[in-house]
Amino acid sequence: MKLVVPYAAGGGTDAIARLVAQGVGEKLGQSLIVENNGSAGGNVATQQAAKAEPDGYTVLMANQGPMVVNPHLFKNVKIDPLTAFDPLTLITAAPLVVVVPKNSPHKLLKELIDHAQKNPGKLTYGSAGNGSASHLATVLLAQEAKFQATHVPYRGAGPAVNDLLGGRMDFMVTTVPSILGLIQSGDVQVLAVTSKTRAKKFPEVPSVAQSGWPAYEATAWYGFVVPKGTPKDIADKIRKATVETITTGVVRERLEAEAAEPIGNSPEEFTAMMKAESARWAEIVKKASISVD
Amino acid sequence: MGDFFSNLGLGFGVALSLQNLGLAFLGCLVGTLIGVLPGVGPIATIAMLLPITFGLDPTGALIMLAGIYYGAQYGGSTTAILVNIPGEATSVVTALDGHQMARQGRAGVALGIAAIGSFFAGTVATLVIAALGKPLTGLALLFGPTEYFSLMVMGLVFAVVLAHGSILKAVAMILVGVLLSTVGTDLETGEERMTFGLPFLSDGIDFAVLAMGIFGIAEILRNLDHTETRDVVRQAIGRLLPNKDDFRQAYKPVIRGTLIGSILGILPGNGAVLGPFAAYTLEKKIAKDPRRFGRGAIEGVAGPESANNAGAQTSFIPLLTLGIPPNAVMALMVGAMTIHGIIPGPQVMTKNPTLFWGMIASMWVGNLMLLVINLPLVGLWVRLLKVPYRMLFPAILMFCCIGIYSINSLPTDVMFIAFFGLVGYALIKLGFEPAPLLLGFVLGRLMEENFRRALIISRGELTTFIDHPVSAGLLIVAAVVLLIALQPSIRKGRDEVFVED
Repeated sequence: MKLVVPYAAGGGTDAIARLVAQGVGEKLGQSLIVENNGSAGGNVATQQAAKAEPDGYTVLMANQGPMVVNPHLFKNVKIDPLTAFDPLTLITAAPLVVVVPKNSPHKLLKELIDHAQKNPGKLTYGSAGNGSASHLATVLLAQEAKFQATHVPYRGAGPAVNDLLGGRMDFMVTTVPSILGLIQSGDVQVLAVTSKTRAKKFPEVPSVAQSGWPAYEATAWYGFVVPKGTPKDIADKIRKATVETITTGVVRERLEAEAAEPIGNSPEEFTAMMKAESARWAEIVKKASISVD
Repeated sequence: MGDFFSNLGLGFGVALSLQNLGLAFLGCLVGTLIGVLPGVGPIATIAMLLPITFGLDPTGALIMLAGIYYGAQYGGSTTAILVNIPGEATSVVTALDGHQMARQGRAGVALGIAAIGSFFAGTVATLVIAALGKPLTGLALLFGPTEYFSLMVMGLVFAVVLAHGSILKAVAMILVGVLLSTVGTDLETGEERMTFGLPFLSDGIDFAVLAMGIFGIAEILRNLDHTETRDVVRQAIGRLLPNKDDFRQAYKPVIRGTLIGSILGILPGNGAVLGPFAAYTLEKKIAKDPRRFGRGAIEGVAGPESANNAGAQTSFIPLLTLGIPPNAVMALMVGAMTIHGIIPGPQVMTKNPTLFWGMIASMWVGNLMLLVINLPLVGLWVRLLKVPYRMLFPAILMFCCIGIYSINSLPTDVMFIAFFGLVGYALIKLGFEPAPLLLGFVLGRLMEENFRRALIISRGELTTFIDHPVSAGLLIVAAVVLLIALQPSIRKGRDEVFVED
């Protein structure tokens, strides 16, 4: 069996994918081999998985980018990810955090945004790349809170965080693992989390929605899907093994350390959620008029 | 100071436990092996081995993974010297003189000095991390896109000024390299550039593909049309280890290379790649007889190899002190730490002192192990050259193909190394040097992206490059070097850095 992961080996989510693959493999009594391919924002891997035999030997790590954002962002996505796969279960939906350097005058999200509204285009933010979760979450924040800021894309969160610390960026929306150490040491301040409500990991930090923009929500989510037409009994087996793996032991701990709760919902819930997400991001991408050829 | 020693003592207490010694040895061994196999890189290996480390305690796991990383850096030089295939950007310059030494029957000496230079550099870099890790973090933060761009300009100017033979050809090669680096999806707009709509080009050209084709495959083609040169390689083996004279020639380059590599290694965003190039340039510039470079000068191996290893070591500084991974391998280390419940960041030093100091001490232990593993292997590697070429070259070709396929599982990558092999062969025949092309390729992308970032941040003001003192300083150095080179009298004495015979 193989697990197709739509990004290069080595990222935080790849590490989780490998943990889950190991657990699922053990439960099913065979090895689940991880195959990484990060080409074209994950689109290549997603297309390959869509074309694979629906015999239960191929599972795709379905994440937000290739599943619901890229079809609206890239012009050359040849498949509709929502119809090409049978969803199994959502693994998690991790919140991102809005952070500013420790010497920033803004102690509340509201102050930062007030400042941004009064100085359109003057503030600079970094992201892990064009179309990354960190970029899209900031675009959405700018739309909801009606401000303009200048985007500087990096390759991955690391170098962007470096420039945030160096005082060259005013703020950043980034994933928890990419900045957790610096939050704990006090080198950056968290102004808000991007989930609908507070995250258990940061009980004292409000969500963006609670800070005055109730419609705002942006999470980095991923789950498992199989190619359309995979026999139901096999799909159920894989789903069961996956849910057991993510809700217990090391995977659970690892997810919680990143402020992400393991979910493991039903295929129906996962399908409905992806549909809603797809519609929402179509709107956001259109409004922001970002597009990738 | 007392703190420093008690900390190091704590570290060695951890690193010298039987289990951790064993893990360091295992890591170094695996690393050396994957470094020697062309194409198979540390990133894929560490990612694959990550799940195996779950059962270990975090310190042991990180010691092993770190061992793989610097083992691979070292092993990459072995193939660069023996068969002219630089596995990593950092071993490109090692191939220049290292492989020439091998052709002259001094492969053992080249491998030996690389091992010893690396060990020295590793020792110094370990001390640097232990003593100055924290204050040096400031240096990393000082370097933003503006400074980075100017650093890259300086790097390219060095290559132009010191390139061998026709300056025009060298500039042309650098520009081709820069152009090749722009193939793929544009970081800012997401537009595909020069991909001809081909999906496998949308992420650009892989460094390993380009280097393997233009160096490795081209070298095989060249060997196949000169029977006499390949006989030289396989028959004359010569001394196995460096002698007194070799050491006398090499010790200063080792020290200088260590210094340069240590400093550049700290910079974020893969500044370490410049280290070996800068060390080679410097050695050549101050050599009494620069013409020896590219023809098997031992300094041309000792300097860059030391810089390479020192940089590999000090690139742990941003990870250990800030939790910011400067390159993909370090990003994996972050993954490994978080799996074990350790949050990389400034607090690792105080919250997990045994892990922090244990890892630093294990770097030195790992370097010692690399020496122990590799010196006896020198004889074995050198004997490999005795294998008749008609049997050796299909094996090299096969390993290249398997290795390159294992990176992205793309058949097109394999076809690409064949294509670049032909290109490389044509370039050799026409008297163009591939090394400046690779340098342009490596620096081109960093240069373009940082240039654009710097301009976005400054809102389009070009003066940003002069307003920032560090950036201005680097540009002034670049301009001075260029001016010196353009003066006719000095130009006559200008000598080559990138020599391909």
